[in-house]
Amino acid sequence: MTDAATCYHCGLPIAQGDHYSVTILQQPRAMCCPGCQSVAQTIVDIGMESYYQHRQQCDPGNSPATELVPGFLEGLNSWDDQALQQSFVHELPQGSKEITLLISGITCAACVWLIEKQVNHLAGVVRCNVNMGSHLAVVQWNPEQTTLSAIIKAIARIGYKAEPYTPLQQEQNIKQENKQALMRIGVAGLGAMQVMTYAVSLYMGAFEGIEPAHEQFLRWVSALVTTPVFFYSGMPFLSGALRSLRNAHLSMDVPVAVALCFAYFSSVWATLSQGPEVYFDSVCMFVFFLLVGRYLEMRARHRSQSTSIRLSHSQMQTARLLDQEQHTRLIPADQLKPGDIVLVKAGEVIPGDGRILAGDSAVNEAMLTGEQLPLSKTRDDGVTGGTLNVEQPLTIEISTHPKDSTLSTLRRLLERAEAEKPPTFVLADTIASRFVFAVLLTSVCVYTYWWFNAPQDAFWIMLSVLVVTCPCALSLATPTAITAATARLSQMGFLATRAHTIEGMRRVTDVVFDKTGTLTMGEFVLAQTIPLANLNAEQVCAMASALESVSEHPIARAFHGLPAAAGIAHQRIVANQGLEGKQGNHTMRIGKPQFAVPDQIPPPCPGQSGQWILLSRDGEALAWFRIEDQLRPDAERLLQRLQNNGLRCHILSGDSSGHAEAVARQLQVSSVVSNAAPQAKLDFIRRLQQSGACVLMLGDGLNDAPVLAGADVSIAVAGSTDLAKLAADGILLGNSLWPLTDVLQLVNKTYRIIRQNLGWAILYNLTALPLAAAGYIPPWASALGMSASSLLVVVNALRLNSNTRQQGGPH
Amino acid sequence: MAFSHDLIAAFAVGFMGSLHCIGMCGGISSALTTAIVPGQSRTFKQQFGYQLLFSVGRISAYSTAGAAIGLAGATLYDQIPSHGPSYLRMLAGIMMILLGLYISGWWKILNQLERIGVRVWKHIAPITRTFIPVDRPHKAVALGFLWGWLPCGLVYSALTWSLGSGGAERGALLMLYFGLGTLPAMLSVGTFSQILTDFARNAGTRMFAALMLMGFGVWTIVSQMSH
Repeated sequence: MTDAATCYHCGLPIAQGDHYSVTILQQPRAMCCPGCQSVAQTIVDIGMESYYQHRQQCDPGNSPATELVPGFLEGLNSWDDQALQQSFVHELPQGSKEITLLISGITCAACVWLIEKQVNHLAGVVRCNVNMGSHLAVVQWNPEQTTLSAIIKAIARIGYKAEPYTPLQQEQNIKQENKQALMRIGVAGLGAMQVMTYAVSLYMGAFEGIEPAHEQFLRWVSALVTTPVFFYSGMPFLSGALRSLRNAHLSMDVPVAVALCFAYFSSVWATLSQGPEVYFDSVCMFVFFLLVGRYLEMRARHRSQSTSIRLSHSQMQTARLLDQEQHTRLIPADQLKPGDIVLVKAGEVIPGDGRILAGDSAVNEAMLTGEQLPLSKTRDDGVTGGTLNVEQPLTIEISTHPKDSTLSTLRRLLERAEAEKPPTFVLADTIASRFVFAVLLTSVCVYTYWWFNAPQDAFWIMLSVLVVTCPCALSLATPTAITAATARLSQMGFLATRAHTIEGMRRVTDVVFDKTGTLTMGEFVLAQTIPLANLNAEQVCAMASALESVSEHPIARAFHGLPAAAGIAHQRIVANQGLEGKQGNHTMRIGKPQFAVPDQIPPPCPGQSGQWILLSRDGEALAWFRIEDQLRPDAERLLQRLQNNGLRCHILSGDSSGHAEAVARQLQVSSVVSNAAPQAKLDFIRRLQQSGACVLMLGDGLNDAPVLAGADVSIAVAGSTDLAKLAADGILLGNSLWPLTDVLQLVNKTYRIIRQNLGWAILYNLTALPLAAAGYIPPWASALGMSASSLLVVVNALRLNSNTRQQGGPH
Repeated sequence: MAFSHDLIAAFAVGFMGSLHCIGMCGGISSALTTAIVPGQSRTFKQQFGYQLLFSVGRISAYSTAGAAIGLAGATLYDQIPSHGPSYLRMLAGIMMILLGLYISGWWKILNQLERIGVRVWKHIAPITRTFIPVDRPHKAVALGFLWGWLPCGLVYSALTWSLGSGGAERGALLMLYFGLGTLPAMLSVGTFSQILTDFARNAGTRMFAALMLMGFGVWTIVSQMSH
């Protein structure tokens, strides 16, 4: 677009020699025509000049997206550069590498299958999962056997474009995809409108008698208009079909493309040879309706992907870096290094994980926990990148590299879950693929039948059959629902980190809670000290504190921060029992009574309530300590609700103090196992499973990893632990257990919707096929029906996302 | 040729021609009907409603003009003994070709016609001020009705068509269909404005629409000559 010669008002080029101008915003502006001139003058006259100012913010042609398109095509080999890979590639402990790639060109389940097959066959690739909903591929490879560029090239060879995923990149791709789709729809829509007009003339001509010359003229014009519709707008279907045929796998595009090609080329032939019938209107209608369907489906897909995590990631783009002289400088947030000091003003998003150096403020962590109320934070408190600073400016020292931040970890877990496919997906794909074959076969039979019975109708009936029965709805039914549910769950503060999480939670019959840190806050405090020997309370406390200083166990933390006695060394943790250490020649022990005084009967516990531990020196009891842990405020409400919903609840506890029983009584749970070692906990779960139960286990995810792994579904209550270390199928991100009930409810709703979707898709195909074969469905209606059935499935799945807190209109 | 066919064609001309409107009127109609009072914005639904009302006003202006021109054409036809409608239709065909040339930017002869319109508009423009800000539904309709008289080559070429329609009510109906054709583009402006504007400004798109309109014009003339 030449800038000098375009109309200030409408942006169209100004013809040579025209001089129309209006003074707007104190400057004469060139206009292209008297019309624009009058409009612009009127706008100025009625005092709405600010319209132009406002408009300039998004001046067409200068949209930020076009400027930011990166030079990704500068040689694929640069992807193997270590420095470049740093920001995208995640190194796994086993020495392999993992990356999330954003893939363009995926249209259906067959594409997913194809890419996975191709990449998984490469030597050195450990694993490749592609998600149909988000178009993301998670690839793990062994850097000694293959390179990232080889993987991207392999994907390019089969006709797809892959690039490292960044939220920004995805946003641009979405914009690009959107624009191109609208362009195609625009061309198809215009064409369809025109060709329909001609077709109406032709039909009426057939009744009223039309001169052959006229008829021929109309056919030629139709052919002219249909050609760009077929080749430009119809390209996604044609290239999709070609790709799938080349790779010997039937995709949904095949029957559509076959129908399009038949209709278009036979009509061109009829036009050239003055044959009996043209189908240009059908071609345009097919393309138009199918594109509109696909476009709406794409919009819906993009919406369901915009989870809060991704959104806040994309908001977290710049950071105000503070240098020694307290000057601020704006830098991209992903270039922050641990140790950097940043300033976060009120109302800004915190650019990375870190610790507050100065300032008191409130931070809204809704994106992380789903909790809307801001938490107050002060000096030395930790903050999470992506959360919102609400009240006062904060100075923060960054503690982690952006790539390993909480938000990146969450995103990676989410992407891994999205990329995996539970068995039901695979089943639906297989069925859909076979169905395509059946459709092709059926259409041949239908054509043959009609050829013998009503040859003039055979062709369009075959077209209808090909288009109407395409099993798109069937292959979309499950993935769309799961993607929508995953997005909704993450808004509720629950992250499903595995694909089978949602599927597994539906079947749960028993919920097993780990007591410490799960049902209770896990923040123990020392409530009472009873010295037994001739030592005072401070002395025994100091000894206990020194012993416990090496342990991170919740009970040990009750002593952290108390003054510690000198001279205690060689502390050692005895799993599930306590700690042992040396003071000179004496052996000090603290923990369970049997452990502290192994050789004699321990002194009787001084009280019933609370948890008591014993300190001993050389097997002689020194002091009792009572440790208290508080129940989570909503634990009672949660267990009541779960039991009302018919779930059996169990409590497991590693301690033997009787606290577990007390908690169980308070929560009205009858099944409680206390004093259980990890192995015993696992055995308990196995026994439940053998009796036919499906077990959901909740734990803190760190101390009970093997137990969590044994359950059918495991959920970790994150609190403030390091997310990357959590071995669980799902993570409750907030401090509350209550979202669990909503999560279970949503899971049930998800499966209700999947059942509806599958039911609808099957019903649609079973009804449409015989109707189309019998000749009751004209071609345009078949395209409409097929698009509508896919759309219905997607919209139904989106109901899961319905009460999201999204703001803004559909821009 | 049946009159219903003309109506479909009028719709199509409105539809294709309205690509041209998006740049010129699209932004304005949404600006006029959006928050005029600072700090007060409308919901998407309200905004859409006001846009619709604005268009209702605009289309009624077209229909009014169509009725007047149709009546004039019918009177004229009464005085020309034979082949009357045929010549008027050929005139419409020529106008359509000119419109094609105009939209493609090859020959902006219709600018001359718009100049005449500017004179009319100068009398109407001051009245529009009465209805701003658009804070009531009836103001949107009224403003749209006035806005419909904006000098616009597209509307003029459609009006020559109603000249040959053969009566006031037929002329009005033709312009109504033409107006309905412009609806999709005008209404979608608020929703997809950016992308749609880019699309409408794309040279290829404009060429395509221009060629279609000119094809229409040629065909109208050819079909009249063969009568």
